[in-house]
Amino acid sequence: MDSELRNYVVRRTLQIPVVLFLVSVIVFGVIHLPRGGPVELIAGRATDAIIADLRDQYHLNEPLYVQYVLWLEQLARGSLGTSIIARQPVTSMIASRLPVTLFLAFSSSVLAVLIAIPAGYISAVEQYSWKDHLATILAFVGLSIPNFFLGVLLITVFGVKLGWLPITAGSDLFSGLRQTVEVFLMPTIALGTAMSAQTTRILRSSMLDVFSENYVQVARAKGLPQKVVNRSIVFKNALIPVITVVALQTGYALGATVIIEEVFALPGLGRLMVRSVLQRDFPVVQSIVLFYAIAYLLLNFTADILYGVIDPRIRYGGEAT
Amino acid sequence: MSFANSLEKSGDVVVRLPFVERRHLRLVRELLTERKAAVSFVFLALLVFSAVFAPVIAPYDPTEPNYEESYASPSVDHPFGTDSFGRDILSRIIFAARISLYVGLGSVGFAMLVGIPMGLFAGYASPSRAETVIMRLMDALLAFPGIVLALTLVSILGSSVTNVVIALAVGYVPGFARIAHGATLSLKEEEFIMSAKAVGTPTRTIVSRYLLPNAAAPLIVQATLVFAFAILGEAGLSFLGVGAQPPTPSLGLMILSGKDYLSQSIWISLFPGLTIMAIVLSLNFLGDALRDVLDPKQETDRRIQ
Amino acid sequence: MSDSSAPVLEVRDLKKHFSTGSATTGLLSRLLGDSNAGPVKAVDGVSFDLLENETLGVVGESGCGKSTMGKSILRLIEPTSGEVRYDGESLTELPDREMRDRRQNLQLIFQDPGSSLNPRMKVKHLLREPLTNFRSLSREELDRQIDELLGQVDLPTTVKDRYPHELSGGQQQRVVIARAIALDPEVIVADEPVTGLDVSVQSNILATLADIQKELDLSLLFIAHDLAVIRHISDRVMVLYLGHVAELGDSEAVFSNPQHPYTRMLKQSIPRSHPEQSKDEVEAATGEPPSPSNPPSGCPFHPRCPAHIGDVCEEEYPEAVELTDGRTVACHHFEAGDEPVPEDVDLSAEETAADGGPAVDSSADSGPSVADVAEGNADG
Repeated sequence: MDSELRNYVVRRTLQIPVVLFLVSVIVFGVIHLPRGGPVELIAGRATDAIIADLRDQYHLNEPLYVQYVLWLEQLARGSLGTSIIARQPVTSMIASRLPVTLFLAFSSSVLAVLIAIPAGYISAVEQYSWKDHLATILAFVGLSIPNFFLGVLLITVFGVKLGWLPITAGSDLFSGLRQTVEVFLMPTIALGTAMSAQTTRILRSSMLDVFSENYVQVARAKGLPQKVVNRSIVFKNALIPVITVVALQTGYALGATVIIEEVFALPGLGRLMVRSVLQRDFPVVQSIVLFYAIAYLLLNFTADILYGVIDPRIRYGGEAT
Repeated sequence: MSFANSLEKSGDVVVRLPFVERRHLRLVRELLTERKAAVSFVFLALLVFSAVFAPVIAPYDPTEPNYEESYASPSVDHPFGTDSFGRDILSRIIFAARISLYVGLGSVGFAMLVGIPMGLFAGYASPSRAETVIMRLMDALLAFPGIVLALTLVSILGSSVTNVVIALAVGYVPGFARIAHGATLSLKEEEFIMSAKAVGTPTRTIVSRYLLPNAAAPLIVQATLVFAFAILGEAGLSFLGVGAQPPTPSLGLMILSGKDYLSQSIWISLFPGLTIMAIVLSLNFLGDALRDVLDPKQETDRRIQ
Repeated sequence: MSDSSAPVLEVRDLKKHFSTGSATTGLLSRLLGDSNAGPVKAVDGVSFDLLENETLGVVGESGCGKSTMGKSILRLIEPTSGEVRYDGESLTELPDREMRDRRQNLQLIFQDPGSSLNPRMKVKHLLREPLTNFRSLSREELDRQIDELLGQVDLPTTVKDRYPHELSGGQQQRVVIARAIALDPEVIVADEPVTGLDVSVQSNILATLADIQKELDLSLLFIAHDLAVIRHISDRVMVLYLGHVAELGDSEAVFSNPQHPYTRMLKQSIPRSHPEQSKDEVEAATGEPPSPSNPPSGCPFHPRCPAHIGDVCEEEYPEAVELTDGRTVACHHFEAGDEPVPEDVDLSAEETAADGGPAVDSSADSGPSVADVAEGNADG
């Protein structure tokens, strides 16, 4: 690995703790700063005694920076606190729901790639043909449809009207392959459509860019048949920025599971988050947001590194010395 | 045109930018030659118009219930049908579109007002500690997926349309800051910037008059994209129940309210959803066309150059 | 320094180092033994005076730091260390606001007019800019001055409404010059002003510059790599090598009888029949210039020097010393007070005070100097 690249990786890696620290401050600040603290928001539904008790239990009477340090200590111990509403350790709550969310995000990404590769490839290779136009229009539509709207429509058509797929998920989602597919098919489509559209367009434009590169012209001038050129050179090179985009999109997918899980009543992290937000269960909200942020951060970081490998210009950005 | 004249007179002409004379008119004209963009432009213009004149245009009151007419399917009286309260969907959509546009404009505007100066400053001051602090802060903000951040903020601030604007805006600030920062970094080394400094032009003038217009292209494209995200975001938040509160008409809320009646009265959810699609689609077409017109090799999405 | 004019600019030990990457990555690179990890020492200790009304030429190969030096002097790039004084007042320590004020007197002509003129501004706006920055003038007065400026650089007033890309290279450069003289400055740093232009245009521009210098009583710091141009236009000349001053003195003296081995090499590499030799050909004759991020130890020229003495050239940096004809040279062959060596004498064949004797003490009268030996004279 040449030194410029190494420097870039080192630099980006060193930024992670800094950013993580800022993230934790933001999470903490957002939850704890407003109007006397998070418990006040529950005020309407609890007696004063219970509130006082909660404040004690969660150390909310301490000065802010003390609370922050206490939280960090708690995190260092591996604990995410206890849910106010459910009175369970947050860690186990998250752990039990994590597989659903991860599976959903992952399968949406896979779907996006499965659709984008053939669609983008054909679009670029047969540019301006009817296939290209169709794909482009479909991509645009896919990008524009709100994912929860699509989900709602899917439920209506396939769940209610046709009865092919279950409307709500049971309790154990991974008990059998068929059941898993049935439960996750529509949510994956709902979430993955926009991602597929975006990835298709990126692949298409990336391939078009590569087509015009010098080395492709050279290959064609040398007499290599177009198909060979397409498949070997262009596609492989065009794929690289797409990989970066996919990494980014998986991060996006993680966030978007919040809505999709609501629509399909899936017992995942997103649904837990929405419920906790509405119930003001701040230890849960805090932990989930932190989790999302870290996951997203790592995905972004991976994407940046990949991009740095490809495009040398990025590495030469100036930083404070 | 002076271009043609100059080709006659001088020897070697250094050709730089293709659009020079009356740049902005030319831009609009080029923009509209792309059919999709033209249609989108018209649609959005109509939308803005109807949003502004909503009270005049909407045939019915959007919030007044009229139980006799509830669940009416689309007809001449009610082109988009009525909802469970008997309210005319079309009228509600017109008012809801107003909200959507308000959220879009508000969040994009706010994000630009905060993010762009931060990015410009960070880029111009580079390399410096201030730059590092700002950009790390932007990275930290970007670490949160949009919906998650907005959801958390709205839950803290309270559920209202204005709070949705703020919550979304916070998430959009880093995007604009990054673009402004990147553009400034690359422009800063240009000799004409140094030349301006050499003849004594003050820094704020250099930044506003030289750096900003050159950074304007990717920023404008970003603005149209983010506008589309804001529309989707507001709808999503309302759908979750943390955005606009009933009886305020919001496209997301309308979809939510129709969710349980989909098999019988699909129009309650369908038309608001289609409206969102139309708006976002138009914005995407427009953004794409803008990108082609302003600069084919944009920095807004990542590709091999 | 027999000249009685006062120095307009005094540059003392000017340094500009560019760091690649951040402090941590630099450390990491050095730990891992990367040779190119150090800062780029573009300018590494340059000292000279610019006298009133003189044209001081600056020559050197590409990468020797000439352009960086020019911009650093005017604080368009902030120097890493060193001092620059203008009319006795320190520029390097001025706060930004006052520095901006001084810029009226210190202007720069950039190398590539295509990139130094804002492509979105018409010529009249480009010329208005310096004027509106510092003077409050009426619109008519502005226009009048602009017309006058255009006349001074031999441009027709019709170019006022043109954009830079609609002008030829020569015309663009004239606009750059007009911008530089708009505020009637005392000092102009001209950074390779004719390098990118067609040969036929170059002499015209040079003539215009010479005229302007006379008209406005300017001091001109003229940076270039074309020796013939420098020789023609400069009163004194400064030869730069890898961010250091190799030789500085009266232009004719330096060119007719170069002292520093590098200057000699430069002069020899100009074939008589092709006075407009390209940069690349010069380099091919003299070898590749080393990289400023990894400069040689001691005297930076020692790897390529035909008059290389020995260890001292690799270990010690030769401080600049003054010869009897007023010029300064930075080379271990010379001591303060030496006579210039005639051109045909081969430096490497001579014994110098630096040879023999482990503890070099060049200030003592330890023996005949180079010049003495060369001329066959041995002073007492």
